[in-house]
Amino acid sequence: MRLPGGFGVAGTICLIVAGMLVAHAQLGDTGEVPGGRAHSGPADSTPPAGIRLPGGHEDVPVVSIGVAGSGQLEPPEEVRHVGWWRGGAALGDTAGTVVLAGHVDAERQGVGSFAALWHAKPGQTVTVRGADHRTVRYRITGTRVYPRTASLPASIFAGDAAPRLALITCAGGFDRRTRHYTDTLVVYAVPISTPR
Amino acid sequence: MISRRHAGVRLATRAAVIAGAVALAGVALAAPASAAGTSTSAGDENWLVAAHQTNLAEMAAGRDASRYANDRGVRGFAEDLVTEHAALDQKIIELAKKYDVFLPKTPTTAQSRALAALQGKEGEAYDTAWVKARTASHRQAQALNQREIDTGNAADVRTAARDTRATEQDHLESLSDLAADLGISHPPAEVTGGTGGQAAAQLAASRRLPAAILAVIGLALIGTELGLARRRRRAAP
Repeated sequence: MRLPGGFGVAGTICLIVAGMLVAHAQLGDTGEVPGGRAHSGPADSTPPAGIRLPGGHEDVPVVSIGVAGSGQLEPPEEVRHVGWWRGGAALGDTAGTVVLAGHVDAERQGVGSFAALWHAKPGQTVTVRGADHRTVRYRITGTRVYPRTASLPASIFAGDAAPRLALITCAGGFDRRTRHYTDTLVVYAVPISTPR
Repeated sequence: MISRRHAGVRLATRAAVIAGAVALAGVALAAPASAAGTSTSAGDENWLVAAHQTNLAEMAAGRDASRYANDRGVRGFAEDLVTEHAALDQKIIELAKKYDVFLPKTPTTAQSRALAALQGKEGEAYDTAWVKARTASHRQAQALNQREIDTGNAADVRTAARDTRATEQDHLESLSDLAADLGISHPPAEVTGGTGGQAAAQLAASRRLPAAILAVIGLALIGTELGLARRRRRAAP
């Protein structure tokens, strides 16, 4: 039997890649989760009030949100806005995780601001603006995908971790029956500047 | 926010406990000393100092939050904190006088540092940090109160530790209510950030065109390969 020539091999590769593009819409883990213990001390901190995502030029408004008794953290009603979990660290704190949650979409409002996180890659930068107008730049270190069938790991929200940022939204396949995504995406970043 | 009715019941309970405790302490101070449990151990004296410094720190924190807290529930509780720790401290001062124990005029260095850490915060960041700090401080104080209750020597100092424990337990419950109201009592277990499915549809659509182009190129290349193979077969002798 004669082996296929160069055209045949190239054609087969094209078909495989095309198939992967259609089928492989799922996100995976990339890079590293920032570790390390904090050196606690007095902090001049402020609640986040705006965020500029990788590749974006728009300052997306950030509003304060809390966890319901059920343990659910629901981003703001407005799909373009982002929620800051007030139980986490604030901007400029010397310890803990600044937790920001946002929508990828909402039934009657369309695509949300955090849909951009599906394309986030380690090395990209995120800028968070505080209520006092100081800003902190963060570098993305990695992403993690957690199935929604289990509770989010408490380690994401570690209060004693060295300062870091966790951007949280939905990912995976969209279940039309439950009207929810199957996974949760967490994008981790570390500060590369002090509030200024 | 804690309901005013609920807070009122709590306040009345705390006031009754404190009034009773002060009365008991008064009786204890006035009564002739009995042979057992009337002298202080080093542990009693350490507890009096620690309880006094805790009261100073809680009063300072309460005064600060009653002015700067954003949340009305936090401000209300902060005012109660000042009143109730002042009442508890009155008893500690009386016992310190009775047993000739020197009481410092300021909180510990660690307590002062924790109070200073709050100064740089504002708005909701202040409220949540304040509630967390007060919870940690009360838990730490409760461990010392329990040790005094279990191992203290002077009966009236142990009674004071018991009363302090009751008041601080009540404070911990109020702090727990405040933490729940602020949505910070536990870390998020779930985030609901997608209910429309448009983002998934958009991503799939964005991949459909390049996939179709690649498929057409792939099929064309395979077709070329098959055509060449057929030609080679025909050309072969």
